[in-house]
Amino acid sequence: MFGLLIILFNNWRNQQWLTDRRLERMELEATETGSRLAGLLQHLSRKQQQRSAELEMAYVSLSPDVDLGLVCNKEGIVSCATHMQWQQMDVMQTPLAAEWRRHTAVLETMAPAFEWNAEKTSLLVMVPFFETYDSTSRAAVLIRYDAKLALVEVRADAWHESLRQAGVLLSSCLLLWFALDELITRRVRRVVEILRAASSKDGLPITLEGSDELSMISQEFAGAVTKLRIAENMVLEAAEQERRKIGRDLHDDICQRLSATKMKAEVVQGMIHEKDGKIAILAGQVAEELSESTVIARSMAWGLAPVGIENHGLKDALENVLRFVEKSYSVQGSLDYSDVSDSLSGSSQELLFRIAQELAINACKHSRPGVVNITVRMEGENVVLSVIHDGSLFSEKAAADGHGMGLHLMGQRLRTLSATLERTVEKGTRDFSISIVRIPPKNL
Amino acid sequence: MKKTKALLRRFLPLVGAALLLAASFFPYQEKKSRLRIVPGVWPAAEALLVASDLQILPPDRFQTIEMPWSSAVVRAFGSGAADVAVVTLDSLLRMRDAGQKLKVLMVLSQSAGGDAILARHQILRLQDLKGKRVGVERSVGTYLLANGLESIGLTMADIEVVPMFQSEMEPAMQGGQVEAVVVTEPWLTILSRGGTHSLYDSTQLKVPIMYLLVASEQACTSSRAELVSLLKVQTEMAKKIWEGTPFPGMDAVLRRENLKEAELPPCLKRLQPLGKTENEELLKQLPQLALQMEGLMFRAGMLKTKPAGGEWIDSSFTKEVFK
Repeated sequence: MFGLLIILFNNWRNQQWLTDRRLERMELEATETGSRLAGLLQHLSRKQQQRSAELEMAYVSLSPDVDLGLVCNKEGIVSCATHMQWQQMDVMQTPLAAEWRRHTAVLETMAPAFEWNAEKTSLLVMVPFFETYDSTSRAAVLIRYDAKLALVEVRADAWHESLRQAGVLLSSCLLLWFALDELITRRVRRVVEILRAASSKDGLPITLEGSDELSMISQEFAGAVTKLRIAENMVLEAAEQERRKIGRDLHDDICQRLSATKMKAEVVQGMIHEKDGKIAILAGQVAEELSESTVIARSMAWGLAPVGIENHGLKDALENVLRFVEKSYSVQGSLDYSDVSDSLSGSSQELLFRIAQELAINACKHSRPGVVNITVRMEGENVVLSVIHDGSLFSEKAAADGHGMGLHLMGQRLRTLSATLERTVEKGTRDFSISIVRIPPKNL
Repeated sequence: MKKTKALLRRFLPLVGAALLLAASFFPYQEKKSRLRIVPGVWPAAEALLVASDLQILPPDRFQTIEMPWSSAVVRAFGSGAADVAVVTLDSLLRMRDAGQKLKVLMVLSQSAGGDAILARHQILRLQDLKGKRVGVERSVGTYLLANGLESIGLTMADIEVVPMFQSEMEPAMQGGQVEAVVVTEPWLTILSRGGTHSLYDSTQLKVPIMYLLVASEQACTSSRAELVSLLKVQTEMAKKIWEGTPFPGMDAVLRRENLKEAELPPCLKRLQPLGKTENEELLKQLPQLALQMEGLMFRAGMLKTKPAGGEWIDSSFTKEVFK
């Protein structure tokens, strides 16, 4: 629509310009022809060269714009005409009667008259001259130009030029659009895809080939993501270390102290058992609470630092997870474990453990299952972890909206392992939600 | 769908580039100018002049230029200022002699007494012209005079030729500058008013005086449709004019030819319009008639060389008009 408006505007301007030029040229021709003819006719009439004057008038009609030309004396008798039928007639009987009447003063002032009609489609020029050497022998040349055909031609020319320009504009736009799409839009779209992939997928983002700005952006972005991933891993590692330290401190110090205090409380209970039964009962209760506190503290210590992986292996740690959820969420847990210790390094085992722990606890927290199963097995060269439960479906989006760090940290761990997470549902008499983590061999 | 899109993408730049080239170098529209007609001002051309006056020939397609005498018509056509002209056969031979590229499209009419040698009363016979001053326009008049003189065994050298325009003949006769003149209608009628009499006229010619419609070769190829329209209008209008007075546009004819209403029918009678059959016949005979005329004109010194051969008649137009 905009293009069409531009073309129409351009056509209008072209028409204006061409019309102005054409009318200007016609004015110039009329002035020039009128003056030339008046001078020539003055000379020819003084020499009584009537035939030459007739011929000159005939040549005037060669101009395609001349409608009618007359030479009249002051009595209004036509001595020459471009159309022979008006020769020797009274000018008042010719088609130029009105013009003659309007400009008859020209014969008094002897100054040429020049007039466009209101529509600017007809131009009249009237130039006076002396027929003989007597100053009263006045005559004039009247020529009427018809601009209608010229204006039709101008309009046709303007349209022709506008259509040509529209063709150039259209094809240029087409080529420009193609070039922009090829060089910018498609590459920008690719950059956006890379950005999206970088935020949701694993591994490093790919870069655009070439040395233009967009390629540089994608390369810089890939570099930034790499650095970010390294920083993330470092933060994760630092957090893990801190966690392990706290867990160890809790296990080695607080738990030991609680155990010792519990034993002392039991000794106190034995010692006063016979003397004061009531105090002994109280001491027994203290010992029991201390025992429970010790178990809780141990669980917490184990949650923070799964010392079992180092000492008893991944299987034992996973069993502890199941025991924890059984105890904390009253679910029935089971473990299917194939030994993967040859395929996973210590730190990778720890990351796998954390992922399994997050998946199992998340399932118990949000889906309220009756049973939870953790499976670790080899599938080809990949290590595969599956967490299956019969609770409600897990909504990652809803969980992410909860401002929790669990999913975010799990995502980091998956990226560190270059692992993928897939969630499916197995429909049956009971629906089972299955989360499958695949760890490729290159990161094992 | 994807394949079509991919194909489209591949061809899009090619299409765009082709369109750009085509639009950039799109040729400027060659302005088809109006067909310019120079009929001359004589009764033979009145059909075209009346058609132009009445705008039966649309002004946006045809431009009629009135030239006051025949040599001006020939010059305008020869200079390229006109595409179509009405000329006599002798003028046509001169034009061909000058190397003009033209085609005869139609024979409009044939002079049947419309051209004559007029003399004062004291000159009774052609033989009396010997040594006399005879006013003649360098056109068909010379041909008529040469023919008349040859018929009595005289040549142009036996008289004193005074070149003049037909419009000058009336005062020249009245003033006694010439004893005889060779005139064509309407001057024949005008001069007859003054008591002159005819010594010899076009009915006595072996090769008649013919009025031909000629067009430039370029116009024949570029404006064929206009030419066919023109010939159709000419045929229709000639029919109306020669059917009898009054006819549309007669006032303009009387003014142009400077005739009285009563003078027009006899004037027109001295020109014989040609219909379909006569036209076809004359177009066939035209090369032979031209050869005969050429011979006389060559002998009388009116032609310096004989025009080269070649196709100069195009009867396809009349066939299209009369079909």
